[in-house]
Amino acid sequence: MKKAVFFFLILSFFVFSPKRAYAQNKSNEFYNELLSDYREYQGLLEPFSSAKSRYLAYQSVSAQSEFLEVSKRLIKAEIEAMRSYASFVKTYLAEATKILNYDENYIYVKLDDELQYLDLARVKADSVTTLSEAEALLKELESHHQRISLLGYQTKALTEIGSVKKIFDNLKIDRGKIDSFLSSSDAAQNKVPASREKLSSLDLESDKVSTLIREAETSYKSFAFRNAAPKSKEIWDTVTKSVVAMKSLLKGYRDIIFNFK
Amino acid sequence: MKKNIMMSVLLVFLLSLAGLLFYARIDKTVPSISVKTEETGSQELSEETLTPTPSYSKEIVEIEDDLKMIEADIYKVKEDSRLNPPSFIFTLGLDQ
Repeated sequence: MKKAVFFFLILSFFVFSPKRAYAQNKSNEFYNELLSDYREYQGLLEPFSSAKSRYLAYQSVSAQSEFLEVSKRLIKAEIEAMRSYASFVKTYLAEATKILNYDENYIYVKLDDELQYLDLARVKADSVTTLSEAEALLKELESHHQRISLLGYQTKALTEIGSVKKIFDNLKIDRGKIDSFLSSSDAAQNKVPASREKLSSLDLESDKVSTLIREAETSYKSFAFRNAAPKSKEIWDTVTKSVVAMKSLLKGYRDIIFNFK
Repeated sequence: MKKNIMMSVLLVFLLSLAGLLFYARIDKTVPSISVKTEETGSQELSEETLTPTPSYSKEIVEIEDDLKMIEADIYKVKEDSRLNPPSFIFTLGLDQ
């Protein structure tokens, strides 16, 4: 009887488990993994500092070997967190690509290369036997971290630009629809001239959006290792400005439509 | 005896659960246990009984719907700071 109840409980768990009921986004799963890996890395910083202080103070063999062990643990945790971040960016890009319909395969391929390197780095970290080897591996990891960070910032900028471009394309389609409505006989003719005037003034706002999107795209082209973070901020600021301009376009189009209700 | 009854109840429950899952996967329409009610046929109201409501052209309605969707998309544009890379230390700090 006990076995039957146990079987029933197990079955119920699988049937009603929330993971099955609500399929999560893959990128969210990787992000949670990143959070947990990064927390683990942060937890190792304090023991690393203490071991380093002891090694610097005593310069003894035991202090050195302790410092080496703690450093190796820290390096391994660093590799895992970098791996989770790269996987998160990769899946995020894949999901955004599905939504926004644009191809940015080179980021995808480069992230794959970095993930391959990190697999190799895991093995390297295991075989570290001296502090100078650990230092050399850290230097190597630094250059890969720069590359992965750049890909992350590029993915961020790319999805932001892609989103506003898609919205702007839709707004342009609706501008066309309003234009043809104003030319049709359905439109109350006495309201058409004022609406046309409004539409022309909104076209100036539309030009502003075009310019801002172009500006963001140009900024994107000049992404480099050294300027990745400020460049990402610059692009986000431009994207925000374009969103503000699109809101006023939307308001204007609604105003025209309201006139004919 | 008691054990047998318990086992039968459990078996019936599991079978009904399996049935529900089967319907949900194959048919996507899980059989309802609610009492069926007669659907009242949508009676067509005569022109006279209708109060005069403004009728908008099809184009206006379509544009309005489009603009609603665009507005929803605009509000979805948010900075995703999760993509900002985490920082690490890349030196043992023994050079100082």
